Amino acid sequence: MPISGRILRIEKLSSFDGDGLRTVVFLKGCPLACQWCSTPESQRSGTDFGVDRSKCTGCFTCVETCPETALAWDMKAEQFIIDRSLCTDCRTCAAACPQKARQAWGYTADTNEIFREVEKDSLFYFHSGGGVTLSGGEPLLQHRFCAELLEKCLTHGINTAVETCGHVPWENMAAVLPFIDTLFFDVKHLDTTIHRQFTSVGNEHILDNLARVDGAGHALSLVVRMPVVPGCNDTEDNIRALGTLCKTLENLHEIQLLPYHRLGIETYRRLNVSYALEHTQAPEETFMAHCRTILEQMGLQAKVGG
Amino acid sequence: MKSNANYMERIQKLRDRVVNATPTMDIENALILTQSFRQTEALPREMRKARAFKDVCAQKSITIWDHELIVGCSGKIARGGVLCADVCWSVLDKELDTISTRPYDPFYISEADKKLFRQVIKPYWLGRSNFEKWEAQAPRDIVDLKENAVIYIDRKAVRGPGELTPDYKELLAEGMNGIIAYIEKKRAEYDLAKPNHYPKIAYLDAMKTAAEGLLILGERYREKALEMAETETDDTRKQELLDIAKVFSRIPARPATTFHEALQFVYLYHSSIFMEQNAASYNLGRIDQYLYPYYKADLAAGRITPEKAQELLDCTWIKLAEPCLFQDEITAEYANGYTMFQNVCAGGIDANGQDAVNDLSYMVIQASMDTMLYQPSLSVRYNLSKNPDAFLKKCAECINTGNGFPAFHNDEVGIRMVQNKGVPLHEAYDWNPCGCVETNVAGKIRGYVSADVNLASLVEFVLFRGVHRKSGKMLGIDTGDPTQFKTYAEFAGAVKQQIDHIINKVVQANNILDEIWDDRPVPFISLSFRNCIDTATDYTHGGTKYDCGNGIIYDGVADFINSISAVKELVFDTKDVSMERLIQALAADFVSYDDVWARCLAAEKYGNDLEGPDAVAADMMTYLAVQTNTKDSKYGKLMSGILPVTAHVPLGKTIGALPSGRRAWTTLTDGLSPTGGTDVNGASAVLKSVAKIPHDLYASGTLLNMKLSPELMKKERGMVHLMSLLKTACSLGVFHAQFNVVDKEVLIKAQKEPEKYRDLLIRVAGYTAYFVELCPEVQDEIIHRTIQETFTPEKTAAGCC
Repeated sequence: MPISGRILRIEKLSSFDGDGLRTVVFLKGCPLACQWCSTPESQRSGTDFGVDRSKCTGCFTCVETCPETALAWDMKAEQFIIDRSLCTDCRTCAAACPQKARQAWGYTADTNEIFREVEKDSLFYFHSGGGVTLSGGEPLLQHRFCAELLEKCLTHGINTAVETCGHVPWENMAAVLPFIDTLFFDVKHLDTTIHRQFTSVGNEHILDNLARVDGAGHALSLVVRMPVVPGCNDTEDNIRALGTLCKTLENLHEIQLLPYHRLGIETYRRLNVSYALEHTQAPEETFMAHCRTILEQMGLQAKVGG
Repeated sequence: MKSNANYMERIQKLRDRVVNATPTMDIENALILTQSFRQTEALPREMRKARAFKDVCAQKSITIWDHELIVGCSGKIARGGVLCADVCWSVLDKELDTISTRPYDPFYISEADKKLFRQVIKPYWLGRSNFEKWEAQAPRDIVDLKENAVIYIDRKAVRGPGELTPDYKELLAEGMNGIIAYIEKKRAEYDLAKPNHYPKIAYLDAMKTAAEGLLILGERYREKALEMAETETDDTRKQELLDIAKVFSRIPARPATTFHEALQFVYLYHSSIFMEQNAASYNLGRIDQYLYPYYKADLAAGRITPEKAQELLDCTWIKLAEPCLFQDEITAEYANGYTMFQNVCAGGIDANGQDAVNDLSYMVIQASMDTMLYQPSLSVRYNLSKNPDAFLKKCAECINTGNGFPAFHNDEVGIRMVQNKGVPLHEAYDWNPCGCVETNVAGKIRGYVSADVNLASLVEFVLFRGVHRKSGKMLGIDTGDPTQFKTYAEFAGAVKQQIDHIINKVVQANNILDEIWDDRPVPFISLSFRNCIDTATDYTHGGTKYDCGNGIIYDGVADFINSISAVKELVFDTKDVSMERLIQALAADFVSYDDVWARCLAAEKYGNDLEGPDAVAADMMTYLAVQTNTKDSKYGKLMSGILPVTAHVPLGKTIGALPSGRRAWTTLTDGLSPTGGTDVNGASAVLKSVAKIPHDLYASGTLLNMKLSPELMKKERGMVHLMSLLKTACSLGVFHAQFNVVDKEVLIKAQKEPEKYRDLLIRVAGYTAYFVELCPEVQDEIIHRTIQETFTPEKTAAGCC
């Protein structure tokens, strides 16, 4: 029996998640809750529901069709509410919405199904030097699923990449490492207190895992990534600290600095979840270049963007 | 990027003149033709055409406009619609008072010209034109089909057939003197004393007369340039005019010796074709190949610099942007935007099957980037295994300018298409894109599309037992009560019966048209088809080396596939909707059937790399092509193609609601493209689905529109990824793709404030047009096409940020 996993969605022809044109498989569930998270719908393992209020006409077809009567309209708050104790994640409400305003995020699929979808674009990988990238959420929370899927890809000549936040048991990571061509390993902040403040967990375990990956002797390309989020982790000290850490890594390929962006805001609205960084703006290009220069001056290879 | 070289100042001035000109009816040639025909009543019809052509060459107005280096014009007016009275005078007669203001491709016409038309042209041609003959001879059932837009078949009766490529390599090498000498040699092989030799001799005499016409025209341009040089006060311009005169002192009589002479010869011949028979799709073909020896020799001799050569190419491009396609208002609705479909090609392979890309290939693409005009139609033959990445990159750079060029053709598929027309492989190596996305071989092949078939009608006929909903007429055949179909196979079988029926009707119509079209010989065009001289047979009468039957264009492909697939899924697979209820919902245009409509819309759609609809596509589209390609006609097997031009707009107006979820009387989907908004899995899925259609079998070409977000291409990596995408499309066996790189918002603004977007080019369907000159429905349809934004920087790296 192929292993099943919780999937958020699959995006094709992505060009920012590794070399060439890639299929990105987003997995559901994440141990972190970063304030700047651009895919808040990926954080929970279960299904999430949202409404695009610009499309919703208030016809309440969703409320009427819910087989568990878990969905209701809160007159006072003027919003939909889901009784999670009743909801079975059946997605009937989203399917019934005539305006396609109601969305459901998350489904279950096994490695065979996902592989078939990934394999569809193999000619695109061939011509672009691309492949598959597992992202999330945190893919390595579902390490058995990932290992099985990536092994299948690898043995069929499909290049593999994984994007991880690093905050998973070492066993999870170790199980998947043999099947990874490129590992994108996120480091958000070098100060564990601040790290905890913005992501809900400290960084000790993450940094420990990073060191172990570096020393594990796998022939993978290791890329350390840091999102640069103004007011959160964009101090020169933090960039330098990242550099210092990276200097200790023996098998680092490069550092990628990802400028914070606000493209996820609409999803927060649809999920009806508040967004902590409402007033944060994307960093200036010149500032990103400056951060890169700091790292380069430390003798590191760095670039802006994925 | 436009070049920033010095010559761009000239190009800009020339370009402004074209962009700011109003399309105007040009009846001068028609007046000369009429006068000539009055004098030649007693001569054979081929000689009459040749004499008329020669008279036009001798009498027409000729102008050398300011700053021009390459000169010539089919008519009197640069952005003119040249009237071919013998083909279609009646079209102008019918629209004389409305053509200036009609919604599709209006032409200005002066009161003086209207008067001349009524007094001179009309009285002579009344009852004699090809179009009138077709209108008089078309059987009632065919007229019914065309009047209700089940088929469209007037296209080539209101203008010449076009869709041909002269053998410029041969013309340049021989000059008209050489051609005339060859005609005389062939003529000497006939003996008037033998039976049936007289028509051959008479025909060769007609060819010679036509060739002499071009000599006269060339000599007139030489004299004109000299005359202007004499009074020119600017020394630089004076020298330019003397250079032009010098070019004409050699060509077209003698073989070209320089790049300038060769280009001028090509343009002179090309523009003169329209004088014999105005039509769309007279192609220049593989210009980077046949001009290269002249360019190379000039470079070696120090006669030219790459920059000077680029300037001459750019000047030629401006000339090619001048002519406007004259056609009736209905045909204009089917092919909107004035374009003449003059195809120029770069790239591909040579006679040895090896990489043919040379310096000129890049310069040909650069000319379109410099001029940013809607004509000529720039095509590339891209050979995945032979052509260099640098060439592909140049293509991507041009796509990135947003001018809609080049039309990207997969060389290997093109070769197979031409083989499928009966051309041996070795000669097929030399194929060229033609017109919109058709395939051609210079100087060797005859064959053109004649009809459009509205595939959406066929679904309607199956569901409503042959009845055309809009008219209530029985236009299809009764393939049985669909509510009694037990299996999808029965339903699919009924669709195929409707296919057989409609193809049979088009075959009938074609057989009549072929006879009518025999009456419009083209001795001047035939000069550039060596086999026509060898056999003393006109191009239209089967004189070319390879002959094909007429082509049928299939329109509404995505609507057709999605509708059949929806019936399969909803009625037979999931059984969510009964056939009876589906038919009721369709008859009501889904009003009060919201649930059925929602299911129809939610059914799997073509363009998403899904097994269900894609299997229907492969099955039905193969059946269509094979059934078409096995039908015989006077000139060979019929051909098939998927190149809608803008036919999907008018054809949709007669079609009721479809199982695809499309509402009644709305536009159909263009070409091979998925229906706008239904392709939700990105560009790779679109290409995968499109590749399920057997492109090779559609020898008249297949057309895919893709709209890319400008963001996609902004960074260097965007270009590289586009190159990968194109390579993959080739590996998948997709024949053609064309791209619009433009913001939706810009299009919407242009629709509201056309005066500010006079220059905005858009790829419509196998051709490029000024967006503001398109009719509103076509504009809407383009705005609605799904933009592929898959690799826009907006979607930065996934992961946590």
